[in-house]
Amino acid sequence: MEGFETDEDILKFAIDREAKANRFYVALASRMADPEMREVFEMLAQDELEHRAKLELEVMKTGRVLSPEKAESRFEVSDEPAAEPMLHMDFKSALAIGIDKERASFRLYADWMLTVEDAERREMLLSLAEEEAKHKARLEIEYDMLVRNQ
Amino acid sequence: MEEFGSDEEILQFAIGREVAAHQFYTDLAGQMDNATMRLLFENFAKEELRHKAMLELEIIKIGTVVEAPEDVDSLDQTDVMVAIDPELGIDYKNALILAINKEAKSFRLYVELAAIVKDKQSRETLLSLAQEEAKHELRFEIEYGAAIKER
Repeated sequence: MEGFETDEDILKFAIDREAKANRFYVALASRMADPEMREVFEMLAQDELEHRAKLELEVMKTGRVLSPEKAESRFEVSDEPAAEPMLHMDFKSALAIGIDKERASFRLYADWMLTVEDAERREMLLSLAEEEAKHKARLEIEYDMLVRNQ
Repeated sequence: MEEFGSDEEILQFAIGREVAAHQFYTDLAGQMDNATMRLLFENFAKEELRHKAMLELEIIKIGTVVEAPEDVDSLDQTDVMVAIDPELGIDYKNALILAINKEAKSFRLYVELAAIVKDKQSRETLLSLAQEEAKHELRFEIEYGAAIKER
């Protein structure tokens, strides 16, 4: 895959993305007055943590131990704003950023699949791609509702 | 996964699935007594026709004339569709479960097809359709959650 030398590089990059996505949704959840909406974002945050755990398991399968701090410092993701500025952003913009972020995550896993032959890892990537696509869909539904009610 | 000799074969295969999906939702809509539920499935049937049109456009772009769709009954639907017995009928919740499973399989199919198609634009279209099928799946899951709550 473009920009990556090894599968391990892609794994670390993906783990970093999932950690940032988790922080993004935690920050959004903390801003929600509506308990149902808060629950939606808390669920998305939890999903991203589970994705991270799945990816870390893949790293462990290669016999390595990954230090998250090290991975995060090595792979700066330019299209992902830090969670903190989210707190000062309006909800609609935050949803739009979330949609872009989920689309990028979906593409990461779908593109990665092109390079992977191992059936088990392909299955894992397919499952992550599906969950990210559903996250995107969830945010799109919220975004459309918000626009309709404005 | 089936073997394909060309991008066109991949796209034709996907078109066949969309035709079958359109028929599936039309049949489900026909089973619903409630007008809102019927409309839900009719709208999804229309969506699948729009997907078919997107795939046909990709075939046209690669310079081939799109053939008339196959008879739906002749398509291999064994891993996606479940026959609906018109005599027995189907209740709304079971219809939603069928639809959720169908969309999940369609998502996976499109990602798998995107991984083997060579034309870049066709790949983009297949990945875009995969995302739409995931959205369908989610919408059915939300409907299912609401139907369960109403019980």
